[in-house]
Amino acid sequence: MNDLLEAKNITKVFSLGGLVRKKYVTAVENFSFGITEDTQMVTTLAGESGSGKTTITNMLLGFLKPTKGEILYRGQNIWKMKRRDWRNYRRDVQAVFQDPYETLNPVHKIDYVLMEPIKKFKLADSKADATKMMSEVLYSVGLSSEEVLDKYPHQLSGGQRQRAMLARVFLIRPRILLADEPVSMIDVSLRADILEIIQKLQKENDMSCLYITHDLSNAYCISDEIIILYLGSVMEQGDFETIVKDPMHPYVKTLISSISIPNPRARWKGKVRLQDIEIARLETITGCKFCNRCSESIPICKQKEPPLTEVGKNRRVACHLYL
Amino acid sequence: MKLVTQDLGNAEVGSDVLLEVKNLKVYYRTSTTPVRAVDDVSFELKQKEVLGLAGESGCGKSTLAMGLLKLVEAPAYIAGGKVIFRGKDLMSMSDEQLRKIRWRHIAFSPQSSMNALNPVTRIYDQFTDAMSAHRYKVPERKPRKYVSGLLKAIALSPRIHREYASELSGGMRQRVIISMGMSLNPELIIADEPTSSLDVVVQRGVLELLTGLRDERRTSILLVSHDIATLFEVVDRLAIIYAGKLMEIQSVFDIYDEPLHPYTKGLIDSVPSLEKKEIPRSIPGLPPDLKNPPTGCRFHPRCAKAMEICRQKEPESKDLGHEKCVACHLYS
Amino acid sequence: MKTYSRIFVSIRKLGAIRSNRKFLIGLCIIVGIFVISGIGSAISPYHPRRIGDVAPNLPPSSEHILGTDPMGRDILTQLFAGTLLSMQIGFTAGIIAFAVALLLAMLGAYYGGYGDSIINVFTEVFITIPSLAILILIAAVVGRVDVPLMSVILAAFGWSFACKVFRAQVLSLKERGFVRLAKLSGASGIEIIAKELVPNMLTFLGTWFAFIVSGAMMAEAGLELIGLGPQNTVSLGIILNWSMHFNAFTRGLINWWLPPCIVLITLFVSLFVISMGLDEIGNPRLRKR
Repeated sequence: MNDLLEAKNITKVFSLGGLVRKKYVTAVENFSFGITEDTQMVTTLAGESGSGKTTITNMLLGFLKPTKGEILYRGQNIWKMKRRDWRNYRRDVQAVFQDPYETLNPVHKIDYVLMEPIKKFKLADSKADATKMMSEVLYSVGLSSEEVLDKYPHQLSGGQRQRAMLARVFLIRPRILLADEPVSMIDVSLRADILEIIQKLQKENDMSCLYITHDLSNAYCISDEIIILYLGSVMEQGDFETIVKDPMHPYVKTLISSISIPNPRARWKGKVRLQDIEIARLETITGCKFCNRCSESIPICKQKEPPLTEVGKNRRVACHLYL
Repeated sequence: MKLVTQDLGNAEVGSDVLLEVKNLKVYYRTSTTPVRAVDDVSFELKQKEVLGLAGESGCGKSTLAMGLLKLVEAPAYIAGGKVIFRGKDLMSMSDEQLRKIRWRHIAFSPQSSMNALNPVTRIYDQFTDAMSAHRYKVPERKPRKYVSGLLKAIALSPRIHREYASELSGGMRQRVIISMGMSLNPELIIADEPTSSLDVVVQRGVLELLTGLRDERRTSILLVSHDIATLFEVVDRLAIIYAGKLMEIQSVFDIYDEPLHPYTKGLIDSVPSLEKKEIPRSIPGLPPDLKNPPTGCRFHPRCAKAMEICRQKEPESKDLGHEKCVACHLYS
Repeated sequence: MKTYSRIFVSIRKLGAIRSNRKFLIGLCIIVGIFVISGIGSAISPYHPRRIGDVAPNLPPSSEHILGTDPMGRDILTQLFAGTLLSMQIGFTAGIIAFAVALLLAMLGAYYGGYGDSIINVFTEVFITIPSLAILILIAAVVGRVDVPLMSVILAAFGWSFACKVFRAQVLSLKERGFVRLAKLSGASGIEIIAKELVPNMLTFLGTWFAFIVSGAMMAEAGLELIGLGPQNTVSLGIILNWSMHFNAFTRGLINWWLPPCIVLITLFVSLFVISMGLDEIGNPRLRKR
């Protein structure tokens, strides 16, 4: 089993404050995840604010160095790679981000944005070839060359910009796509189109996708599996549909039941208990990170952190109730 | 007060009309033609009701929410219409009279709670400032106890009293804003995207809190949001806004079973759900430019059921009885 | 290079530079002064420095439009030559300071780490050194200062504050989303600095260039005024120095001391106006509608 991209027990600790009183925040703790050469599916990396999902994304993309652990591309640590291997890694691992406006340089037109990867990754042999390629990928995402190539980012709509970003991914044809909240800044009635493009991208190019979000309803449409993070650790992971229908971890249970369903006959039952969640992060907690909010906790939860354990076929939970 | 016969099967909703909006227009001045952000919108809000105002970004719903209390700032201006509350038209009131109504009778929770809280005043003082400005008689004349109670209701510890707004997280600030809105026990709370930046579980808690107010204190809530799924979870009636116009308003059950307006149907169909593992369908086309909206019905360029008349004439809002109102030529 | 021309073309297409009045007016004035001084210097029959070139202390007349100074030199010719030299020193010093500031800021802020810390400390130290005092000291010690050395000395104290400002700008820009996208497209550090960051900083840099140049000219005039700096040349500061030496002010010889002042003030004001114009171009919110 060749791992194309692997996060091996990565931990990231940030330090806040100045010289005298430094506070340490563990954003991600001991996270492991791998995508093999032959898996071609969409995995959702889900988590709310403070879960560490953005930090993990930045580490997988090589923008942030883990405090502990390694990020491996084809078995090699990306921070110790040679230039040529790093190029290959860059070509194989791409991303689309939440805010297409932020991600585009206001002084460059869209044709520059598409030409750059063509030049750097040598995707075309000639200018004519490149123009043809750009035209084709723009068509795949529902745009036309005349519509966008000669324009600046501020002249396009949010939906057009995001599609242009996806066209860029179509161009590069990476093996792995990290999609970080790709639809959260798009109008509600236009999100489905973007999701369709991502699914098309994934199926046509035998690509694996990591969909990073806090909005499970959108991710559910196109994902096969899900990993749920809480304060830097995985709480539960496995087949998405199974987990939605029958969640095991208390946090996941609360989360799934609190998601809005657009059906007035399927409303929330009972009430939730609001807590000061924010304080929990800065306290050094021994034991399970969720225990101070958990309604099903048992004494051992406060003392020892439950390890992520396999509880069935393609199902893992980190909870003492299931050990 | 006008009594509206109701036939909903939802025993919770009251029958007295609390707020009546008539032909409200809010425009934005530009160097050329004004932008018609809210164009001739009429609806009623009843006592003890949670009314949802749904629409996508740029449709005018936030402008409408602020317009109800004349909170719009230049270049926006009220171009016409009436907003009748307790028999008086808010649009024709002086600033001084409106100030007495705001907060005390109608509270407004703006979209970005970050900006609504004073950064240099402690939380406790902000509560007492609002209360003393309206000469609110605190129960038992114990303001500290009262504020603690309010904070506990949104599950924030009374320790928050002494903190400044910048020391709280986004979710906590949002809750404080809502709590302040509740503090003077208003008849109506207008909440503009109260949960947009909150985590899923906190969002549920805040919305349950608001609907709890409706149950316990008979407060009406006007909930403005682009999150259709969340609106379906909590509202009694749902109004759909598109390009500054009210397209449809019905009880939430009726609108789910039988959406009348094609835009409503398209909007509901475009929302993903954990009940179905499939990609929903987008509405083709793009939202219109409000400086230069399409002729006739503003939705017709994107409407699968558009007819010739839709391009020529703007449909009028038609009351179909049973609390159903729709602006569409399919029903004229 | 092609990228740069494309960038300039694209910015000009926005029309902002063309239509921005402040920028154009300022630019015209500066170029105008330079051209007039150049032509004037070339066609003048008199020598700006040679003592006894013409009769001394003559009042303004049709032959000597600004009269002559006590050492027998035509004042208008001096003015032309002096303006040229002051502008030359100012711009040279400005360019050197600007280039050094930009280079250090880019490398330090973008790459970070120990190199950045070192550069940062170095910059801060230079900022806090009382530059004028040191400049006077150096000029006094070295004695005969020639024009190139003058430019270098001025540059040495003009770069530090600009470097700090540039660094702050680069630090904030490098966190922007498009830098991440460029990295994902395989761009190297230098490419990102050149193709992504600099184009976003052009108007900002332009504004600062104007500041640095006026600062250098001011410092030069100041040093010359008190008698330090190149003595065997004619610059605006030196003219003022001589006029002070001969009590021109108390003797009411406004034809001598006033013109250099006016030229200096005009140069500063036009540079300032240029920088305001560039500010408007770069910050669309300031543009008048």
